[in-house]
Amino acid sequence: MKRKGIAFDKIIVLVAMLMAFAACTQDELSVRRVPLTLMPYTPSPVTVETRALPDGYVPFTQLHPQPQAPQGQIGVYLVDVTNGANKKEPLGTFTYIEQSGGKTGWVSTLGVVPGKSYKVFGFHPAKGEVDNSNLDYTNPSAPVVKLPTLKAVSELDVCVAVGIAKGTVTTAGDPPTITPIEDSNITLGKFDYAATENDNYIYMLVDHLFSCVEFSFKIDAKYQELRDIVLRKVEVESNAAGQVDITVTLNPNELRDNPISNVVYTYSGTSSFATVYDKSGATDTGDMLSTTTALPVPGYFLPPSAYSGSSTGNSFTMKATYDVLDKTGVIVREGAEATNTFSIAGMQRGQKHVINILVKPTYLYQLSDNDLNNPELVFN
Amino acid sequence: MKKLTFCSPFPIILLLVLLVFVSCRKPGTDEPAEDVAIGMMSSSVAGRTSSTRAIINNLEAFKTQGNFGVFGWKEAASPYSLLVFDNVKVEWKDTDSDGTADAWQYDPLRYWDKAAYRYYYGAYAPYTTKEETSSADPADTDIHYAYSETSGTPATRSFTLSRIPQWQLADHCDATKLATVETAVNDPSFDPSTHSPYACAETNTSVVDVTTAYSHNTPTFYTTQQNAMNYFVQLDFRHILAQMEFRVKFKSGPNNVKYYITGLELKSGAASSEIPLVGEKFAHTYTFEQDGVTDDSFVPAASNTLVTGTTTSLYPTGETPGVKVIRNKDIEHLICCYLVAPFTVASGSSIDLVVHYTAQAVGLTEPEAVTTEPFSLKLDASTLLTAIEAGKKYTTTIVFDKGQLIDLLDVAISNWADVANNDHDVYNW
Repeated sequence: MKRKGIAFDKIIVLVAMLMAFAACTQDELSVRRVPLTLMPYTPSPVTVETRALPDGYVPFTQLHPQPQAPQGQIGVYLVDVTNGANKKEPLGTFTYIEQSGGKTGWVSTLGVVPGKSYKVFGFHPAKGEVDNSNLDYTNPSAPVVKLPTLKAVSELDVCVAVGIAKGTVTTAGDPPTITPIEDSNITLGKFDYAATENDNYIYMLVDHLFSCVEFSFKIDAKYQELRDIVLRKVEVESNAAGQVDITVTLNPNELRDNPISNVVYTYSGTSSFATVYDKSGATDTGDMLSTTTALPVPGYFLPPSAYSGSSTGNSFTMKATYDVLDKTGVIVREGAEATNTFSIAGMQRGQKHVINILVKPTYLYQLSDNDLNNPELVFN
Repeated sequence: MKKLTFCSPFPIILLLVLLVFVSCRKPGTDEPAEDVAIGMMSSSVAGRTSSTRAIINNLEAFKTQGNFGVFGWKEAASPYSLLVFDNVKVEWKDTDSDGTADAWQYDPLRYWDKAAYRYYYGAYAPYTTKEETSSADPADTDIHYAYSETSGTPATRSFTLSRIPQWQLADHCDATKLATVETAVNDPSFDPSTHSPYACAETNTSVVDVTTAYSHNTPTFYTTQQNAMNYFVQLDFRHILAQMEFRVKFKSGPNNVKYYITGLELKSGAASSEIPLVGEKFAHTYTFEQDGVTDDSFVPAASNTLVTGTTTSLYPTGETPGVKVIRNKDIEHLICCYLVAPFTVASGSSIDLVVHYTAQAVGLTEPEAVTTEPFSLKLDASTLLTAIEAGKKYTTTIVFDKGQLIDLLDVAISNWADVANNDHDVYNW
């Protein structure tokens, strides 16, 4: 298959067109236009600069900047539906990568046969905690994505694909020119793809299956006058469930409805633990807390609303590990730990609870003078 | 030294029947006079070479293998029965000192007893010295033998071969051929020195292709001596194992993805079907039939004589990188082949194959592991396998038809719905 990137002059035209689109307020398709980071496919130079998205959807990298596997790896089951075959292909992956020169993109291991028709079902993360994923396509009108043995509290934002669309058009030529579709009309509920000879690119929409709690760290200004805090690790523990099997029943449709018709969370165990932020390695520098800009640390978990009649599922313990530095940059306490417990009730999948954690000075520090740097000691 | 020559009406037998008696011994009290010696001849897989290509796939290969063991009972005045051949080793040897083996020999020589009613012979190959006894070392991995005789009318006689591996990775996976194919591939990125297309042969050094044979002889020929053929015990060896071979062929696929077969797995189909497990051994008893009735001990071993399960992993599970799927279209490449204990498939069930492979796209530092859905093994396009039968070869060709890559341009994710935003001050940090 030959691909050809967008010629420079075409890029100029495309950018101009996109600017014009961006200025347009018409929204007949209930979509909004979101500028996307340049995302060249590797190694092909086909690129996306802007395109339309359904309401409520943002670029993947906005929530997960530079995602590394397993977070940055999408598992995909293709189902060959040509002439009613309904033959499920093995699990393949799209993996987000970064290459030298700052290029980023999704690398594919999925093959399609030109002329055949497929359904595309995806989820992420693809590997790691969900090695035994499966797709049940016994009922084509209600395919079931199964994601077993996930931790009930996780550093991973578990999602399922809720729509795909072809992402490029081909202009005849030798070789043909492949151009990304700015307005791909990607909608919820559609999973169909017709494989072609020259270009097989898709866009994908994904939706959350977990809830999110985001610990947003800042330091009080008075404390910072004396000390700096460098966050090294954040661990979260739930005292309600250990692991969960997620079964998602989809409802492919032409109505642009969210196709997630049912999600069953089958949980077991009594506790789960996840490290949701970790810069504790010897070569890591950690993040210094700011008085103005919060450091967000999201964690993901089995939605509390899924617990059947148990209030214990709403309790989370957060343990932060950090270094304390004086104002000269000397570590005065290394690997200090603080533990806090939070009660979070009734959240649904896709919902986020933000907890603004402000590190306040203690009584001791409030009455103290500033640290002296190499003070002179006089003995009489 | 006596020399016995023989002419066979069967061309395949003509090639081998020259029996030279290299030694004699005084017969015991149960022995007849030294008159006409009992000769041995083999017709390994005779008449069945078209249905099998196992390790020993023709008579010449059988002779090259070099030996077999013989049990033989002489039945005289009832209930008199004597074990004349007690696991006697018969070897293909050079009898005329020309440097080329030319006849089957055994030592010491035994003689036909014209007073006997009948002789019963059973043989197996390759020969083993290890007898299965209560004191036999259970850790001994060699094949063992045992024999049994029960008096009565008729008396029953049998011999048993035990500790036969249920699965053997076959040496004759043609490593040389595979390597030749590899070097012919126009794939500059493939470095044979860092991969292991030879693993099939390297992992196994002593495959045992077990064969057995029966013969019934009456010594009436002795009075006429019209048919020299009857001086000899003709042993028709047949494979007691089946062969399963797995090959791979590339039909289409993206050029920037490399595929490696990393494992094969057999599973039972819809209904539970017992499959012999890799790493286990089995035993089978071969019973002598009365009055020359054709022995049917070569039918597939019943599942209850095997150590079975509903799934078993074959070569080369866990191997990295595995056997590469080469992009030369329509050229088949050998993955591996096994000698396997025959087994049957439960009615209404099937044997399914699951293929494990890796796909490494350009840009990925690690290959992605892929597991196929189970697909049923078939004799042809429509008929499911119902049994793996002794002496037959089953070839499965895995076809990679991956078409073209489908790429992901971009992903959008539903934004979080903020439901709460709480302040929480912490102290004592």
